Amino acid sequence: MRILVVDDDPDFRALIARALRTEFDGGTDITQITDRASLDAALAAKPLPELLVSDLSLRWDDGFGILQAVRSINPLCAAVMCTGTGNEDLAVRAMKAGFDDYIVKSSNQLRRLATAARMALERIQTRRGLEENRDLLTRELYHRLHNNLQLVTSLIAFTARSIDDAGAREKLNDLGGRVQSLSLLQERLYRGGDFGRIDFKAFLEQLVDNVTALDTRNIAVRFEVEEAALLVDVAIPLGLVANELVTNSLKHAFKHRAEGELLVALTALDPDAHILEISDNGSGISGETRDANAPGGLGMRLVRRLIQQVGGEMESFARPSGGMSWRVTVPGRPHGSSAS
Amino acid sequence: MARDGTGPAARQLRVLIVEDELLIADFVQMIVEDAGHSVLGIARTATEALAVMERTGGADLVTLDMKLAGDMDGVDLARVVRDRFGTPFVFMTGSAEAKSRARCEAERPMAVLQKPFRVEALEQVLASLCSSAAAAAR
Repeated sequence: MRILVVDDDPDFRALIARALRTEFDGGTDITQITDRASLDAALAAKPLPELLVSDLSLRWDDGFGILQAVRSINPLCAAVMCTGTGNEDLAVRAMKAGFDDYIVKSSNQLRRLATAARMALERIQTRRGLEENRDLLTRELYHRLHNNLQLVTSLIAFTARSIDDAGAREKLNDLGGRVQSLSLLQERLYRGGDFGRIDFKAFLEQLVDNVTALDTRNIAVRFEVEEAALLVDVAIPLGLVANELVTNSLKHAFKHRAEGELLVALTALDPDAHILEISDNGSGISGETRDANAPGGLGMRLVRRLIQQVGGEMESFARPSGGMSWRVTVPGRPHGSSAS
Repeated sequence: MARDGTGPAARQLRVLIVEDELLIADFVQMIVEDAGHSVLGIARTATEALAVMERTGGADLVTLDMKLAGDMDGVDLARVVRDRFGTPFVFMTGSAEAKSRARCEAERPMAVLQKPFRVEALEQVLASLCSSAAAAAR
């Protein structure tokens, strides 16, 4: 185990080192830090330090600065502060800064110092174990979730296959598509590692690729998508909206056509406000009855409700070059959300 | 049904399904059979899968669940399927982790299908295996 001892007083450094060597019964590699250069050298060396014992006041830095530097290379390094001027305020500050314990610097406190170091290390061990368990549990949970979503997808497919009515079958397939887009959002959430936001650019590109890949016609897609880490509360409804609009275009805009063009755009107005635009060069609103334009259609009802959920607005218009455009504007924060 | 217009019976593949969740195995079987191919068997462990391969003289395609009960997982089994039988395979995984995906990709599968996958995703794998076999025969 590597231990860093930081103190300007060479005699006290030696006393600390001896106390720690006795406490840990050999098996320790103690580096005494005397200045910035020796600290930098120690932090560049391997293995990473597991324990830091530092004086508060140094000629070249202070204990808080040392802790920050050490934790930046090993966030799970145990740390004990010692200082000649013991007072309660300082103890509180040390603990708040992330030190595991605080000892008054004196030769009759060395025994306590060694015990504090051992206890700090044990606490870190426990924490590491808990974090590993948590990661394992999260992985298992997600694996189970994806498996269950596969069961749902399978059940929908089985049911669709047992139905003779083509219209009803299509509705079930649409449901399959909705489950699929939710699953994609879930996957992005997990992959991102930040459980508060979703990489919406990656999601949108994957969603549109997946949906258009199922289409046997020649559909060209143009992406004009800006980077956007959307809050989960916005990303999930907006992701489902994107699925409805893209599916709608494929279903209705390019009816009786062998090819078509989709434009998928996402523009950031500010870090949290966005415009999503799905456009096609299809038959336009007058040529065909478009689901999303029919007030009673399920797709459109879902889109309206989901946009309402995020406090957004949608407008649709005919493109001068032919086809339709759907533009969804979402404000910074969803209504009634306390997401941070 | 074949979506590429070549017709369902261009070449009938024998597919071995390795999956410990039987409903999901049934789903895979439905897709395979609807596309005009046949299912060699459903194995729930690597040992069962290898026994089927030995007994029947091999499959044309193996679908592999990543997580299997027993000593070997999907990736371990894929290695044997490739080295001993030279059979193409496709992974089906519930894990979205980059590390797990990289482990799958390293075995050079035909595809890695992220669960939940839809009918069309596996249909495309079957169709591409058929067309590459047809191209090789020409």
